[in-house]
Amino acid sequence: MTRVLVIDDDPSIRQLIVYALGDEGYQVDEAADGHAALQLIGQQHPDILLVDMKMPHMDGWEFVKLYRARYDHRAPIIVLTAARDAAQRGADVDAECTIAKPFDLDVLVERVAFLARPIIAD
Amino acid sequence: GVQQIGADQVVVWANTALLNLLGYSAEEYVGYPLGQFYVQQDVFEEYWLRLMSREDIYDFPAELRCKDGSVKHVLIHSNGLWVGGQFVHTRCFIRDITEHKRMEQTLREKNDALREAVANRDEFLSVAAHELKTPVTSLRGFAQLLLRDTRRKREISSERLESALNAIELHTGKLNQLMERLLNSAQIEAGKLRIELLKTDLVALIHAAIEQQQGDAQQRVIFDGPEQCEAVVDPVRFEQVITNLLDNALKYSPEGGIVTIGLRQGKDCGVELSVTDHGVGIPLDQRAHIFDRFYQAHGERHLSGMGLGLYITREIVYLHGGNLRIEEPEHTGTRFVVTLPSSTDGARPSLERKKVRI
Repeated sequence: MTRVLVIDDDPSIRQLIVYALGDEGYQVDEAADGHAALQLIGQQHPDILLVDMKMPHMDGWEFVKLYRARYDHRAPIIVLTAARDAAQRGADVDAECTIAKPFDLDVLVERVAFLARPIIAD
Repeated sequence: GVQQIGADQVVVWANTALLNLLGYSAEEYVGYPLGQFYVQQDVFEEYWLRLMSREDIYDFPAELRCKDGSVKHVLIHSNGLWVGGQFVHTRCFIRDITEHKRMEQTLREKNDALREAVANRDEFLSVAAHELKTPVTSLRGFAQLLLRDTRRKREISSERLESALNAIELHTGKLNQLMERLLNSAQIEAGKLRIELLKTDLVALIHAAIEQQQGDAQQRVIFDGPEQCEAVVDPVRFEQVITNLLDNALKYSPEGGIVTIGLRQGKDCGVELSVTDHGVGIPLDQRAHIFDRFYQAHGERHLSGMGLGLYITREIVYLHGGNLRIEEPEHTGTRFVVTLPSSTDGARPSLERKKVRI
């Protein structure tokens, strides 16, 4: 079962994503900030990361830097951001994908599905 | 004014109008080198050079020094009289445009002010739009979640339904608050925020503000004050003040930190309301800015509210003739103190004190 970690300081958004992705058959874990996220990752490495850029204590940018430095095994990262230059934010951290807030649930589900697809080796 | 200048650059004569313009008597002006009345020597030299090259000069701008040291901006018409290839004299017509220049400057300043105001408004709109995105994300998300279930004919669990409705209630509340703040902020900028003074029980307002707090935030608030306290305030606006300060205190407090609202009689029979938290406190260098529009301490831009709360709070307090200051409590944290002057009809706050945990 594909494991998704959603990192966002807004509890409503986390709850929403847990429901939506849970419906699609994913195992969803949640963290309210970068620190909690790193702890969870230490216990069990997720397959996909959903990261909000604006968070207290350690923002999305910092978290991604730390995550990539610490783990060679890179889980694909989807950046969630309300910033006007959403695409730029994603590019800044070399994310696999960027989703601008407010987002369509369909778009979120589709992007996660895309990243979760099994890679077929030739 | 009119004047005549000889080949040696000396003033031959000048009419009354010109003498009056510059404030000199004939003895102080006629017979003197023209150059010394020009503020900028290089301008004078250019003028003379052009004159000597037989050019007819029109609307030549220059600055002339008056007797009292002030400067007049002028435009000069100057035609030379040449006889047998020799310069005899030039007759100059001098027009005073000092007032004109002053108006130009004022216009430029007003333009700059307008440009700044427009930029401010644009920033405002931009900040507002950004702030609205967070609650809208939740609202839209939960609506779509339930729609997906409905369209797929899936039963919606009561737990899910309750979560969705809670989120909607919470975030529409936030949207409402944001809109209020935006409106208030705009009103303040336009100088249009009005208050309606009524005899009000401040204690009731405080309890109302505490009750507005969501969930377990209410458990963290202690009220330290009398059972009743009448003052002349605008009840709606003043409740806003209490709510803003309370929101702030809870927001910047650590998890589960206690916030104390104190109410007591101040000096001069006025009223003193304080809101104290056990958060990290506000660094000295940020205290001056804390009431600025859009300002958020600690660069905590992830927190919502646009930084308008304290800006609006201070304005409302001022409108009441009161004062808002920051203090450092004995422990780490922040204390905001609102002082209101004694009410005009002499109503005094009740002195019975009681610590009540809400």
